Amino acid sequence: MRGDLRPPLPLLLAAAMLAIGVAIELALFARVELAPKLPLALLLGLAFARGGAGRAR
Amino acid sequence: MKLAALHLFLEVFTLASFVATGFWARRRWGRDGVWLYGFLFLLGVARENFVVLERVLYGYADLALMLGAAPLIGAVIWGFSIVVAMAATEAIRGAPFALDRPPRAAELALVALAMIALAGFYEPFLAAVEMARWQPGTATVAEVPKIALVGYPSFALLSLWAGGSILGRVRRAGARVAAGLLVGIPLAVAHAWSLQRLKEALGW
Repeated sequence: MRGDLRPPLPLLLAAAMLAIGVAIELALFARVELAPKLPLALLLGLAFARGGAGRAR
Repeated sequence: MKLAALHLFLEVFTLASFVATGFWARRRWGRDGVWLYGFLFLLGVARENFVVLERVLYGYADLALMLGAAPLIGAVIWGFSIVVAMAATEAIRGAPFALDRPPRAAELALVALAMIALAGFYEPFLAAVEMARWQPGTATVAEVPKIALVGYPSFALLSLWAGGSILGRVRRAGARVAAGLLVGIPLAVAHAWSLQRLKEALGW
């Protein structure tokens, strides 16, 4: 039986915040500091990948 | 004016995210989830009001939405972030987060890592858009104040340990509210106060 593959809402909101942060930095400073954002991007990516796989089992 | 409009957008977006996450917590964890989210909100309100009133750690820009002496965004971001860390922990471990006991070591480790990752995003961004300012001379690593890398995970771990202990021991709703107030406010104040003392002791 297939499980619910939707990522948890808080993780989607955190990803949206990250994307908004990148967009604002680009708009204000025409550059983005990627290094400090990388751990959160990796964590969310891992959570999305593992979460989907976990619920699909 | 441009920055004020940006700040208001970020305040409203964060508040909307906090409210939406509250509904998610209720659906995910039921009444215990609602209580824990309220407890985390109380901790955030108490902690940020203490930070502003006692002028420890950092200060805020003049923001539109306030709760007491502290900006609302500062009060709600803690609960939102801790639930993000819990949701990430559940997804990565593939196991539900039981709320009615103090978290296990593996859960605490993942929550701590998630909080450090969130600090890495929030702190340089808030400084860049001039929403929050740490005390002058605050030591940083990769643009993140070193003390924030201690403060974010430690506050989450203490909050979840206290919240889980109350939920596991206290069953009646009224008693849970009373226990939350009695434990939460001193815990939040003690955390900010201790972090400031640690920052000074380490020269950070």
